[in-house]
Amino acid sequence: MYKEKLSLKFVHLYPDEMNIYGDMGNVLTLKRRCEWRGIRLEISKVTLESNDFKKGDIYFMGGGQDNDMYKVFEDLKNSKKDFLKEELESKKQFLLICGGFQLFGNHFIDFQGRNINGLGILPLETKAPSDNLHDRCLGNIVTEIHSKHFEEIKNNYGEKPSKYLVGFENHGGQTYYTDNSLTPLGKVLVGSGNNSKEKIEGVLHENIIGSYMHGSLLPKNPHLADLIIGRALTQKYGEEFKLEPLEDKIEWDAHKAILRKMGILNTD
Amino acid sequence: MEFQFVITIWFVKILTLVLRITKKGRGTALPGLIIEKYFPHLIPYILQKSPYTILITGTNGKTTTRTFLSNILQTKYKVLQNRSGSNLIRGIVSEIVSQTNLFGQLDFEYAIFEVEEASMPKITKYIKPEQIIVTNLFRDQLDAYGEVDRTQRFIQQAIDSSQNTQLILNGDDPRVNSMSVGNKNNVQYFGIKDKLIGNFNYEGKKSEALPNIEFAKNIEITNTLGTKFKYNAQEFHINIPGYFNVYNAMASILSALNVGINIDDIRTALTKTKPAFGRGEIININDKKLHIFLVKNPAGLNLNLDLLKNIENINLCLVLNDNTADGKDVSWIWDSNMEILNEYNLNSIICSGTRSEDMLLRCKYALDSENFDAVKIDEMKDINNLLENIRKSEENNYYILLTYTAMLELRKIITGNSLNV
Repeated sequence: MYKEKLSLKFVHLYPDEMNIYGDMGNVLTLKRRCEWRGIRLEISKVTLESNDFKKGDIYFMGGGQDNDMYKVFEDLKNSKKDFLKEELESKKQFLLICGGFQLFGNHFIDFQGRNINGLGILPLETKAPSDNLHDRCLGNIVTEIHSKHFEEIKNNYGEKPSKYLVGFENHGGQTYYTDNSLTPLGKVLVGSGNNSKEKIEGVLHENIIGSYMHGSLLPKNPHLADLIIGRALTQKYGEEFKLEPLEDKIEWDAHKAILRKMGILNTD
Repeated sequence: MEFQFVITIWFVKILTLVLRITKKGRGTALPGLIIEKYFPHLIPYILQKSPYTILITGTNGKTTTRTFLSNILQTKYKVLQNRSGSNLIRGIVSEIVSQTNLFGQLDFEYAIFEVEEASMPKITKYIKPEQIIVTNLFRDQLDAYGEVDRTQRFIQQAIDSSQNTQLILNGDDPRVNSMSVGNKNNVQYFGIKDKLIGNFNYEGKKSEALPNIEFAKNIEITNTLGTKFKYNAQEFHINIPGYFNVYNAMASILSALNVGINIDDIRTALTKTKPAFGRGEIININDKKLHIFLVKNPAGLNLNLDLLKNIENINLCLVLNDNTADGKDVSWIWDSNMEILNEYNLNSIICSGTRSEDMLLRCKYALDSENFDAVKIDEMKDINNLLENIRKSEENNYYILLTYTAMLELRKIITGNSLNV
């Protein structure tokens, strides 16, 4: 436990609309992992049509159904875009899953050809070819964390963490970067990732993590959860607040179970 | 067509028998599979054979509603019904073919079919149902069915294409009660007027007061987890565990009244109805009682966990499989309110199934540290081990919440037969 009373502010963007499957697990994981270290995580939310919200240290947006995404996007564009851009520039942490990830890009074109301009924060665009379940990227996914990020994740986590991320993807949208300034979060070993061609998944760009991985993403990937907490702590309190390690056996057992199931680790 | 139909019936019956004897084919859907493969052009003709038909759909409660309603109607009539798990077109075709005699006659007055949501438009293309019951629409296996909006569209399509159909809709569920908008069918709604409504996380904006809505009131949970409620100033008593079954009972009451069954016969039949397959049924092994609750989505898990929260010193088994029929995506356990376990008086938790590690992890994050440290919590992947452990233990009651294929597996180990009995 830390000597000082530490606290972080967590802002859930549109929890009522953008919560398609298991995304609450990410919120709970950050909350518990802070609590177990004696850090208070204050949770607040940004909702449709309300401008009464607090600033945060960590922002999170999950995936949504297509119709909800339109509503959210309109609202973002009309009243919250500038605020979020300011927060990004002041190095606040952002975790964006699925629909949230798509909305931070340049465009989202749905299966009917409707084009939504994204927030334009990440140079990427997404196109959904059809409404057919067979055309979706759907199933368990395993990635190897991009070498550019792994060093930081390792230093932050303390003990030697897994070099993989595990999750479940379920998305129609095919996402491509529109320039080469972005680095993926991971290299796809099993599954599709951003699209069914390039074998890369998500993005880790400065203080933004975007990903298609549900599962939920953070419970079975404690090293990634801790990266977000560690970065937010450093941002708020400075370098000396190194993250205290936790007992993560149950987390790694669940992580390894997927690695074995998908043939990345040998079963023994 | 009739001649071809009768010949086909003979052929299918003989082939089914041969395949079963030679153990090359199994399952209740076998006749349907044969028809689909060799005689697909006969499907419309077969479905049109169905007599007065009541279709039941929705994400949760289809099987229990069918069980209630068939028990009620069987007090007066011959009722054809499909079995739990055979709720695609194939299952319904199978049922009709299996019950057709060698002269091509189907000797039933009523048919009650539970239908998987996405199959509704395919069925209503050929069957003109006299009644359609929609129980509810919760989030359910996104990897198999896609978004709930999509599921809602399928049911809406089926309703819009049916004419002169009596709709019986859950009036408390905004996704369901809006389905009558803009079509010419007669509609009745059912709902509950009770504080328990707060436990149902229906999606969408709460609607204005509905005309034609019939409420169950004064809901009381009995000490065997059954439920008493009042409808129209009369008392009803259901023995199937789970107050959420009041909705299923109400849908059955309205439907049976439409058919002309009198309310006293309905009441008696409801009380006599035993739990369907895995819906709160009790299986005895040695001197122990296993209380079996099928869970397949967050809404179902939440309601079952809420139901069991007052049991003293409970032994809970949470069995999570990720086979196709369970949903390969287990993310949904994180959307469930497992934090309610902090209100439990827990003796032990055993996590089992192909994704037992995920379930254990979910428990770790659900429980406050002091509760997690205090409870005996184990993980055993193999359901055989789980049962072995239960057999050897000194506890008498186990409450087992499990996904679909886990239920089949457990039943097979215990009874040697995974099918509905």
